[in-house]
Amino acid sequence: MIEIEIPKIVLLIEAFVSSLFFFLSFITGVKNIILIKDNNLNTKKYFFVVNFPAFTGFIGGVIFLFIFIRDAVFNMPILSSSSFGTIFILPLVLLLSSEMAIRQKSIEQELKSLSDFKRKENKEWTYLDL
Amino acid sequence: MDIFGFITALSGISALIISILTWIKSAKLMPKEVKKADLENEIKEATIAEQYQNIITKEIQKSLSYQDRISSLEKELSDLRSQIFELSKKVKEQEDIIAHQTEIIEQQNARLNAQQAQIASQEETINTLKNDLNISIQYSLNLINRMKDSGIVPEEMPKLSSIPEEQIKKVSKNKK
Repeated sequence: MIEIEIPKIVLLIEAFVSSLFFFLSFITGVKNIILIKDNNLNTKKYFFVVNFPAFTGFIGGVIFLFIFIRDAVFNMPILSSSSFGTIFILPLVLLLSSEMAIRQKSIEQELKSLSDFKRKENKEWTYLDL
Repeated sequence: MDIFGFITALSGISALIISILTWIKSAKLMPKEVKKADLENEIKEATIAEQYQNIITKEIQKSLSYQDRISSLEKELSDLRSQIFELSKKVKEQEDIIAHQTEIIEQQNARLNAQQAQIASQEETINTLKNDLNISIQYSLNLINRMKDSGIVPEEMPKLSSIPEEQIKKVSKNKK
């Protein structure tokens, strides 16, 4: 019985962790957007690097939270435990969500250091073109 | 558990482990990266501060050199002013001396004029006296001649020290 349940439990954990990583990306992305706007960092690259992951993180988080709740609470699994999606796509999505969350976090740290430097200098950002 | 379930569980667990390990590793590295970024920023700040300091030092050196030049120029100006003051003092002294000498010359001119007037009056007196003397010589000669004619031999006329002999002869010839 437990042996049969193991793939399902792994799928549930995967969905939950993916949902966590996606929401983490979303929250960090929103924080980054606020940091850019508040500190007027004047960079256009972050619009694509920050806004798109924030949007994707929200959508992904909602989808995987829905998958997790539906499977765990209502016992109505969307993904079958032996399908191509659960073997290849779901682990890939999990890795991508983790990478996206890490990337967003590093961008957040970078933006914080930039805003700190800008606050210390008390003037417009001049020599770092990001 | 069939083979697909095993593969699903294996891939899922490996993905979970990899993602969580990646997260932990990046979380451990993140402070270092931040420190590195901070360090880079501090280096850049230090570079900018050094550049500002260099600029300020150069400006201070420039202003000091300008101040030195200004002070030397002020010193030269004060020297020139003192020289001008000394020269004006000397000029004033010379003017005073010239005025004094002009006064002396005027006084001497006045004295000369007075002496010339005195000389003129004395010459007039001398001329009058000469005429009188000529008249008296003439009279004396006439008287001597008459006495000679009358046989009275007068004494020889004494020699006058102030009137030369030639003048007396001249007067007597003129009469004849």
